[in-house]
Amino acid sequence: MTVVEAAYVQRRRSGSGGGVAGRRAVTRWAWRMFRREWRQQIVVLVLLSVTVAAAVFAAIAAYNLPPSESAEFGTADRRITLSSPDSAALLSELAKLADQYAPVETIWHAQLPVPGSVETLDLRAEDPQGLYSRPLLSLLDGHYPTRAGEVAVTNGVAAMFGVGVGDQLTVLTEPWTVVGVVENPTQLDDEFILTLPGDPRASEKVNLLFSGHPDEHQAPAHSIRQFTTPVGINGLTQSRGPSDRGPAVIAALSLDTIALLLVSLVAAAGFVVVAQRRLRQFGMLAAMGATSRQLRLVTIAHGLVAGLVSAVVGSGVALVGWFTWSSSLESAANHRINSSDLPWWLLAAGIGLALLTTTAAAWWPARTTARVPVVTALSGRPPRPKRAHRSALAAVIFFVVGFACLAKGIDKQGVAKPFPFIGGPIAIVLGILFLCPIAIRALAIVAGRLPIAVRLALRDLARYQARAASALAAISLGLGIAFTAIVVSAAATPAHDSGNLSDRQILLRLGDFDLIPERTSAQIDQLDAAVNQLAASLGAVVYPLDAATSVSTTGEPFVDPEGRTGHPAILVGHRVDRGIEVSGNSGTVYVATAKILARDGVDPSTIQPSTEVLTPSTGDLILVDPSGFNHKTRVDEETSAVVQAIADPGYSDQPKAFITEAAMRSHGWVAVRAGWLIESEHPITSQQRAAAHDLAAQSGMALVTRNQNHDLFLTRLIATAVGMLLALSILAMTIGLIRGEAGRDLQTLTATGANSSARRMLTAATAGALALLGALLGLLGAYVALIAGYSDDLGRLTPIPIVNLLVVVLGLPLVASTVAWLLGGREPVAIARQALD
Amino acid sequence: MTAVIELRGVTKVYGEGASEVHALDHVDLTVLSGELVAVMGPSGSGKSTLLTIAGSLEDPSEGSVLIDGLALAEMSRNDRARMRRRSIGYVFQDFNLLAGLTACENVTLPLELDGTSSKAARVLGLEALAALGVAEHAARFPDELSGGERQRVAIARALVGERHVLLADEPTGALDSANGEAVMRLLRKAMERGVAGIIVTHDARLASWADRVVFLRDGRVVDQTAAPVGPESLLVPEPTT
Repeated sequence: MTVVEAAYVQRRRSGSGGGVAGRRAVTRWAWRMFRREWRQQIVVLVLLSVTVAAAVFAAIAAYNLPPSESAEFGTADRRITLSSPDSAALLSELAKLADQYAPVETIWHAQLPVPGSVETLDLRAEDPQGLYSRPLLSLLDGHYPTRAGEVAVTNGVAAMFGVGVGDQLTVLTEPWTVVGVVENPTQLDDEFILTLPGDPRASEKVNLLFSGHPDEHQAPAHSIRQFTTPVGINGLTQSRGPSDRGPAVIAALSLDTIALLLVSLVAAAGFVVVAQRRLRQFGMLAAMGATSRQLRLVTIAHGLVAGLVSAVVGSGVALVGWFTWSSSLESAANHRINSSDLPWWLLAAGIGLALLTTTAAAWWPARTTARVPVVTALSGRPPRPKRAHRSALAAVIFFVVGFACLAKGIDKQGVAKPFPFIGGPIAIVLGILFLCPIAIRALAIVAGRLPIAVRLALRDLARYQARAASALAAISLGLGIAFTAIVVSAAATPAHDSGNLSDRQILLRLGDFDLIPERTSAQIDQLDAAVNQLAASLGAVVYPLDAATSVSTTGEPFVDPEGRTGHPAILVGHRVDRGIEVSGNSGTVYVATAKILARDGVDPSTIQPSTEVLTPSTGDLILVDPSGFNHKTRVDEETSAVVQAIADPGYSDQPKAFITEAAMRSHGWVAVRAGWLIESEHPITSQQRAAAHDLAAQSGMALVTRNQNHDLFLTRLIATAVGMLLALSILAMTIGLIRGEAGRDLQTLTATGANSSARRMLTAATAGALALLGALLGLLGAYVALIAGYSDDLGRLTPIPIVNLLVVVLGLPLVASTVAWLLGGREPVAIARQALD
Repeated sequence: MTAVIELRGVTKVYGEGASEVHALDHVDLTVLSGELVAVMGPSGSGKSTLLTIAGSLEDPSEGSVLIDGLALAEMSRNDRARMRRRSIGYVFQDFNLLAGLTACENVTLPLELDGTSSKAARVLGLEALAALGVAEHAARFPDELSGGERQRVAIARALVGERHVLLADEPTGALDSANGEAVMRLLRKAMERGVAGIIVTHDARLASWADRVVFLRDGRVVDQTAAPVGPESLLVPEPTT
C-alpha cells in the first residue's frame, strides 16, 4: 500500500471530524496566526501575564509565609514542658518521662533579669546537634559554645547589650564570653542566650521533645493523653498541630481564581476581536469542509496558546520575583524562608488555572464565530445583530442576582460567604456584558441628529455590534474594577471632620491608654517644658492631660498581669452581657481641668454636683479601676457612673471622657500626668510632625497625629491611572479593527470629498463613544456592586470621590478621542488590498 | 457520463416582506462528470448564490441539490462538511488562501481536516502544486506569491486528492489577461480527469473555455448554449418580452 493509499484508508477511518490530523492542522494554523498577530494582542497577553505572575507569587508566598511547621517542635511532634522550683523533683520526673518516651531531647531554660529593665531574657541550654531541635538553631557568626563560660547570643540580645563575638557579656554575676551569634530560624523574634547543655543555671524549665507513636491507642505507654505531673511540678503537653499552610494556600488559590476569572473576561473580549478579525478565514475553512468543532478549535487553541504564553511568562516573572524578594519577607513571616522550597504542585495548579480560564474565555467567541453562516463569514459582513430585548432581560436578571448575592454575601459578623461573595460580582459583570449591546444600539438611535462623521461612526458601532460590544464590555469591566477601588478607598479615607485626630492636633502620650509609666515630678516638669517649647514653635496651645488612678504616686509601682509597671488609668466602659467593654483610647478618663473644660466649651457652673463623668458616650457606663477590678466577683455589682453629656469632638483618639474633681475625691483617686494635647490654628506640616516625632522618641512618649492615609490616596491615583490605561489599551486594540472593517465606507467618504478631518472625526467619535459608554457602564456596575455590599450602611460609601470619577468619566473619552483624532487621518487603503491575504 | 451536480427547481429568497429578494427562482441545472459549465449574467442575477447553493454553503429556500446523486438536504451539517472536504473544491476571486500557512499547507489543509496525516497530505499537495506548475513555491507563504501564483495554489487546493467538483467564482477577476488564460487552461485540464465544474464569470472570452454557458437574469436561467461558439457570441441576450 502506498503512502497515499494508506492516507485514504486513514482518512476514511477518521469519520466526519477529521480526527487527530484535522485537529493538528487547525491548531497549527491557530499557532501560526498567534505568532503573526501577537502584537495586536499585547494588551491581553500583558494583562494575563501580570495576573498569572501575581497569582503564582501569591500562591508561593501563601505556602511559605505561615509559621514554620518546625517552630517549637523541631522534627519532633510531641512536647512536654515541665517547671518546678524543686530541681530534684524536676530531674526525677524528667528521668521517668525520658524513659517512657525515649528517645527524647531536653532543652533547658531559665529567665534572666535584664539590668535596668523589667524584661527578662531566656537562657537556653540546647544541643546544636540535638536529635529533634536542629531546625530550631542556626549559627550566624562564630561558633557554638563548647566550654563552660561560653555563650552564643541572638542578634537582638547582641544589640541589647552592645556585644559581638569575642566580647564579654555580664548578665549574672560571672561574665560570659560571647563566641557566636545564633538564631532560631523558625521564629526570628525568639531572643535568647545559648549556653552549653547541662549548664546548671538553666534549670527552671525544661522542654522535652519526642516523637509520639503513630497510633497512641495501640501504644498507651507512649501516649500523652493520660499524662499527669506529680504535685509541685507544672506540666504542659503539646502535640504538633496541623500546618497553617493548607488554609493559606486554599485562600490564595481562591483569590487567584477570582482574579483570573475577572481578567479572563477582559481576555474574552480580546478573543472576540481576534475571532471576528478572522471571520472570513473561518468562512474559507468552512467552505473547505471544516466542521464546527474544528472551527471552534481554532479560537480555543488561540486561547490556549495565549494562556500558555501568559502562564510561562507570568510564572517566570513570579519565580524571578520570588527569588529576588523572598528574603525581604522573612521578617514579616518571622521565620527564615527557603526560597527554593517551591510548591511545584501549586505552581502547576496556578498554570493550569490560567490555561483553564483563558481556554474558557476563548470558548464563547469560538462558539459564536463557528455559528456564523459560511456565506456571511466569507463575505466578511457582520452577522445581523440580535434583538436587544432578550439581552435587556438577561442584564436585569444578572444585576438583580448579583445585587442579592452581594447584599447577602457578608454575614453579621462581617465574614464573607464564599458562594454569594464570589458569585455576586460575576453576576454583575455578566449583567454589564448583556447591557453592552443595548447601550451601543441606544447610541446609534441618538446618532440621527449628529454630524455625518459622528453619525456614521456610531451607526458602525451598532452594525459591528458583536465586536463593539465585546470591546465595550472589556472597557467597562476594567473601569468598573478601577471605579470600585476608587470609591472604596475614598470611603475608607476619614473625612475632614472625622478620623483619629484633626489635622491641627498632636497628642503626646505617656505610655499606654490603660497604664501610665512611673515618672518623677522633675521628669514631668522637664517634659512639660519640652512640650511647651514644641507648642510655641508651632504657635499652638497645650492642654495637659491628667489621668485618674487609684494607686498612690508615692507608693510601690503597680505591676499588671503582663509584667508592666506604672499607674493603672481609670477607664470608662459600657456594661455588656458578660462584662464591661472598654474601647481603647476613648475609654481613658482624664481629669476635667478648667482648661480642658474651657476648650470643650463646657461651663463649670453647668456641671451637676452629682456628675462623675462628662462624656458624649451614652448607655450604661461604668468607671473601671484596672488595679482593683479583677477582684470583683460580678460585673452587675458594679455601680453605674453618673454621666453628663457633652458634645462629641468626632475624632476617635481625642480625649472624650472627663472625670470631675468631686468624683476624684469621692473615689479617692489621684491625678497623674498622662500626656498633652497640642492644638494649632493651622494644619500641622510634615516638618512640624517630624519635630514632634523627635521629641516623642527622645522622651519615651507616644506620638499620635492624624492618619494621613497616603496609601489610600495612592490607591485612588493608581486605580484611576491603571483603569484609564487599560481602557485606552483595549480601545487601541479594537478601534483599528472596527474602523478597518468600515474601510469601504471610509473610501466612499474620501471619494465623495471628505477630507482628513472627516476621517479623523470618524475615528475620534468611535473611540470617544466607546470610552464614554465604557466609563458609564463601569460606573453603573461598580455602584450596583458597592450599594449591594454596603447596603447595611450606605453612609459608609461617602464621601464620593467626584474628582477621580469625573477624571475617568470625562477625561477618558477626551483622551481617547484626542489620540484617535491625531492618529485617524490616514488615507484609506484601496479596496483591492483588503483581500484576505 | 454521470451527473455530478444536479440543481432541481432551486429557489433562494433573502429577506422578508418588503425587503424580500428572489436571488434564484426555480433554477434547474445539471453538470456531468468532466463537464465545465460557465454561468454568466449581470450583477445581482444570482450567479454567486447558485454557486454557494451548489457547494452546500447555503440551503435553498425551495428545490433540491444533489452531489454525486446524494441530496444535500438529507445530510447533516457534518456530513455536508465532509462532502466539501472530499468532493467539492472552491476557487474564489480573491484567492482566499490562509495567511499563516505555506502554499503546500494551504493545499493540504482539506486533506488534513479530513484526517489525512500531514506526511501523506504533503505528498498529495506537492503533486497538486506540481500539476499546476507552482511546486517550487510550496514553502512560501501567500504574501510572498504573485496573484497568478496564488490563484494556482487556490486551484491546487480545490483539486487536491479525490475532489471531483470544482466551483469557481470569478477565478480570474484579480488577474491580468495572460494569467487569466493560464488559469482557465488549468481548469479545463482538470475537467479531463472527470472533474465537473461550474465557473462564474463576467468575461465572455473566459466563458468560451466552458463546455456549456448558462445565462442568468433576475435569478432565472434565461438561456444556455450547448457549446461555445466564440467570445463575441456570448453576450447576454435581451430577455424576450
